[in-house]
Amino acid sequence: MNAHLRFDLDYILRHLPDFGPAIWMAVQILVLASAIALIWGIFLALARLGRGPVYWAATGYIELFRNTPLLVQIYFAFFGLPVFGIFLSPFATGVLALAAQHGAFFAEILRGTIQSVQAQQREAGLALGMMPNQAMRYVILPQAFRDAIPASGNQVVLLLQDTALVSTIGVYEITKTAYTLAERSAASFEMFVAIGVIYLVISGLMSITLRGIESAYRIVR
Amino acid sequence: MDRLPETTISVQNLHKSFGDLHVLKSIDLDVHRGEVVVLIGSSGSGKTTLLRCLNFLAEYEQGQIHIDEKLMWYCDADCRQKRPTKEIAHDRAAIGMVFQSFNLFPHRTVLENIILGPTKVKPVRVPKPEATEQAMALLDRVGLLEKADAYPNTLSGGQQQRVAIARALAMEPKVMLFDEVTSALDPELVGEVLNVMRQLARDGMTMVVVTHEIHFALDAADKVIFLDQGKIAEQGPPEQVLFHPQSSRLKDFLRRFEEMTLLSWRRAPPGEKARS
Repeated sequence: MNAHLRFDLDYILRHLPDFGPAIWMAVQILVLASAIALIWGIFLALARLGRGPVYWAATGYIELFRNTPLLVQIYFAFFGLPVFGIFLSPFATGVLALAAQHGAFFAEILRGTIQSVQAQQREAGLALGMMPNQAMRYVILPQAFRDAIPASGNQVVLLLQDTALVSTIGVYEITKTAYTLAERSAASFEMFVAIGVIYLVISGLMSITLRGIESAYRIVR
Repeated sequence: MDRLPETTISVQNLHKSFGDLHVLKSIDLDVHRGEVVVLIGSSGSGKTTLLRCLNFLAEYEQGQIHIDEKLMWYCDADCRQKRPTKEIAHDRAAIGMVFQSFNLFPHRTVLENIILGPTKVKPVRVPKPEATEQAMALLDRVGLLEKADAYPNTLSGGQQQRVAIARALAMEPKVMLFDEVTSALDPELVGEVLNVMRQLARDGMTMVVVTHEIHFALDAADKVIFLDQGKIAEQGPPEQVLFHPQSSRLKDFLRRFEEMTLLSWRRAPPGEKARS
């Protein structure tokens, strides 16, 4: 029988414990990068709703980071930042690169939901005597955040897939671990099936959680 | 105690344009303390715009509006120096407004809608327990005590509008502005909102009301103003303006209500009048 056609389930099971630290690493990247991207995205979205230099800076940033491949950005950060005298670990570089691009995406999601909150809502706030920034804080943003949950959840799932790219700069997350194990054996196919399943399970758990959050915070108008 | 000025709202020579469209043309208007003024007119006559100018939700180019002898908005000749937003916001806090489309905050419960202003916006912040107590009293007043923890979307239009009135009252306003507050309601829900407004008028609130409810004008207004093409065409006590219109424009306007409103009112006048 041809060895290449044999699916070595045993090999996967034997090396499954090796993926423990790899999954933990990916989860850390995911959580840190998502958190930074969300906060950064809020700033960018508000800046993009401003005027003058603030608007142009935010718009320039968002267009630059949305319209270049993440892999290029990761390489740029990894090889480029040291040129400017900034030395970060591969882990930190990966987290920041992911947050930088996903922040731009979050900003666009949030800008959309901020703008879709009806103008009358702001007016109702102003008529109560709110300053424009209070109307933003108490009336518009709480609604915009809730409306942004479905699209942001989608974005976080994409971010999980993108953690695989951090493997290229030597961070031992899931994909890098699979590469290494595959190189040590003839079982490349098995390894990539295995991590496919791992990503699927993590994404699935995230989707279930997000759906829960979504229904808990949905606004019925 | 400070002397309260007799005239709460004073509008002088107000002009307002949207681009080429001259919506308000030299409006002069005085509203006295405790008075209920009803603005009527066909759509496009400028009545809603006038109301929105009173709390500066609509900006105007020319004219002066004083609320309690305080100039609501001003700018210098080339309008580089304008009245600071903060001062305008401060004054708006004392002017309640209720909108046609309710505009309750959908992410907050009824109670949270009402206490937001007193606890976070009012120039002198009210502590939450006290604000909650006042809010419950207001909800009782508009007959919605049991809805305190409901979200706006679970209420009928009439209930939402009564909550909106309570939300405005929670700021303890000197003046209440009503912008066609029953126009978006099913006919059977109009009455419950008008009753709350009638009660408010009886309690002595100063009110400016834009409405198509001639009924309400007859039994609650002290003064009715007919706006036509951006000008005050006729004004006076409700009986005079509504039963003895002078201009053909007002006659035409009122003819539309005659069968459905005035006649039915004459046949079965609703109880006692709000004020004598």
